[in-house]
Amino acid sequence: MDFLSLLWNEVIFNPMLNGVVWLYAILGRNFGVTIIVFTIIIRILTLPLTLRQIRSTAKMSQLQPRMQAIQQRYAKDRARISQETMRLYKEAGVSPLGCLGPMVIQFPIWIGLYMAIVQVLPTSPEALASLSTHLYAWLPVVHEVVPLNPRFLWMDLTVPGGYLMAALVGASMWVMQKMSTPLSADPRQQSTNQMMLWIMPFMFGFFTLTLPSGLPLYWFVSNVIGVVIQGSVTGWSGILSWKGIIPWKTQKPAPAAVAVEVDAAQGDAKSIQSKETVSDGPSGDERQDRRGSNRARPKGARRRARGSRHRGS
Amino acid sequence: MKLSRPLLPLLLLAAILSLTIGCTGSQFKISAGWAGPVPTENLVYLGSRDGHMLALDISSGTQRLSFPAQGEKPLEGIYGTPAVDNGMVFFGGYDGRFYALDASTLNKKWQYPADESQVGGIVGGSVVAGDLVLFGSSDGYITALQKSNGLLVWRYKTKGMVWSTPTVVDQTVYVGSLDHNVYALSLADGTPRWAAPFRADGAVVTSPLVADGKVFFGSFDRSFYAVDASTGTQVWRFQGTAWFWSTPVTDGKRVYAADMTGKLYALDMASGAQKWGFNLEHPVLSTPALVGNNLVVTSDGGLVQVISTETGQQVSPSFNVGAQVRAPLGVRDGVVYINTMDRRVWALKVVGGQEKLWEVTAGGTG
Repeated sequence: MDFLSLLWNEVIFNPMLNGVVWLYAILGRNFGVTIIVFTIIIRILTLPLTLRQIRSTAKMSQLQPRMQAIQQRYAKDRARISQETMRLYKEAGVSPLGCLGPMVIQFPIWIGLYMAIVQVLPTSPEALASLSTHLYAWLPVVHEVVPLNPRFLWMDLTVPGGYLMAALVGASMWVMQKMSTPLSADPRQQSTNQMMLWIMPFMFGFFTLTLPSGLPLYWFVSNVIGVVIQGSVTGWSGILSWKGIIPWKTQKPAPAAVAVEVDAAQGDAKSIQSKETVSDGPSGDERQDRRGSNRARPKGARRRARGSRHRGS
Repeated sequence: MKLSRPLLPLLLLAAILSLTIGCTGSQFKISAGWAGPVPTENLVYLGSRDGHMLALDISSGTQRLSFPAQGEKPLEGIYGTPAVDNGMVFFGGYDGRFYALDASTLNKKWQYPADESQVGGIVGGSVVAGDLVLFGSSDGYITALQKSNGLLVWRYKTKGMVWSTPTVVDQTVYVGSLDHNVYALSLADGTPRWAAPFRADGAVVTSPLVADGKVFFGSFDRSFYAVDASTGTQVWRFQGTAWFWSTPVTDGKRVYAADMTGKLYALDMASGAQKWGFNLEHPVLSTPALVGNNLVVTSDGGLVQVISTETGQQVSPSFNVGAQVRAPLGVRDGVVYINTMDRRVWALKVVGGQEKLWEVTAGGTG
């Protein structure tokens, strides 16, 4: 535990804390401006990951029709669905975890920044006293600017920013979600996406009402930058589209399923033609499948299917 | 219940954020205080870590009096060492109220502000001078009140929080501020005595020590300063290794100051030259105490050490109180009173070797 604490302090917390205080010293001793510049720096440093995430999400979106086709085709064989989906990902060069990378990277940054804000701004004598142990001895300027002035615009960055800040965070989060969440061909997935479009902004809005407003300021600026990056890469149609905004309204699922031919010998899934189908009715292949035809399945799959029927009877 | 896959990272995010906020938030919101004990003939007055001003029996440590009374809502936190004067106890709370209590009963005589309003959180101690009692607060004010009734006499606004205990010498109030300045104000009306406040390169939390025509104080810029008491100009500056939080003391020959890496310095009052140094190896926030020719000093490490002022060497083995000590030490008749951060109060005899006289838990139970 001591090692983890040391690792956290030396690798994340202390560099971040000293970086924030140093920026404050050179940016006119304005902590709000410091947080904004710090956020821009963090977004620049994580830009390769962000671009990877955006491209990964876009590719995932493009794969939706083929994924749906796989799901329909192997509706009764979850192992095969998983196998074929992974094959599809590999073929397309995407990782299902690729979207999580930037989020995972940002977690320690959020936590470190939150701790740095509370530590740097004198919320209590205890907090200020323990700050001295985290400041680098070789960086005299960070000692000279402490304690930092917490005022920025109408806010005291040591206390929650109130409803206006919560609204700014919630709105920017909503726009970010709206632009980055692809429309899914899967109705369940689409419904979840719509829920998240509203849950995330409300959740972060709620956090904003309880946290020192320095952190929500980071979220807001980070979201705005994220929207600009997203719009630059994928265009602005996401925000201009009003499709899929209201979660409780049943949406017509996106027409997009593509027939898939499975090469029994190679076990390869290839799309052979674009063919519009609707997901609330079985496709021709699926109807064939329900009749018990296993022609398109590899041998192993046929064996598994028979085995499961025997076990089920 | 089966959760759809995309909801899992969302719930994970909420859980991690909540956990982080819960763990770290509570850690930083603690403001329990570290008030120094003030021993008198029969009682020791101190602010407990659970928000009470207590009076303990000086011979046994038994709790005699409490304000607020046990069972009533405690104060938010008491950092400042109380001032005991003429049958009254004065102290400020981190809740932004200043209290005057009857020393024999700890019943409240008055509070400032008199209504339900608050000033900024009070971290420094208070000082009594003539008919006035003075203190600083986190809203940047230095306030002088009539000690008999708590009526406001004057206020002076600085540009930063005032956590330093004011020092009054020759009708002048000297006080440091987190705005990097040290101020000299008229005791009578609060008007500045210097052409401009003395500006250090860092915040000033220590209480100024006035002796030999100079004002001595340390700063967060890791420097220790001597300033001319009448003009506010710098006489000398000594470079330490970390923030100075602890208030310096003097025996008339040297000034003794400790920084937050645990380095204790003995400095020549005239030149600022270092005579000797001693390493306590832990941050020192507690004000040391002079007992005869020895200096009693302690730190976040919890060791109470007695050091010769002449040689800078330890004169007796260290005594371990087993907890951080940030409150200034109280001294009376060769006995040092220590209020530790784990709510224990110790009475240690430090003359002729260290010996525990008593040890009690402060607050909590009556």
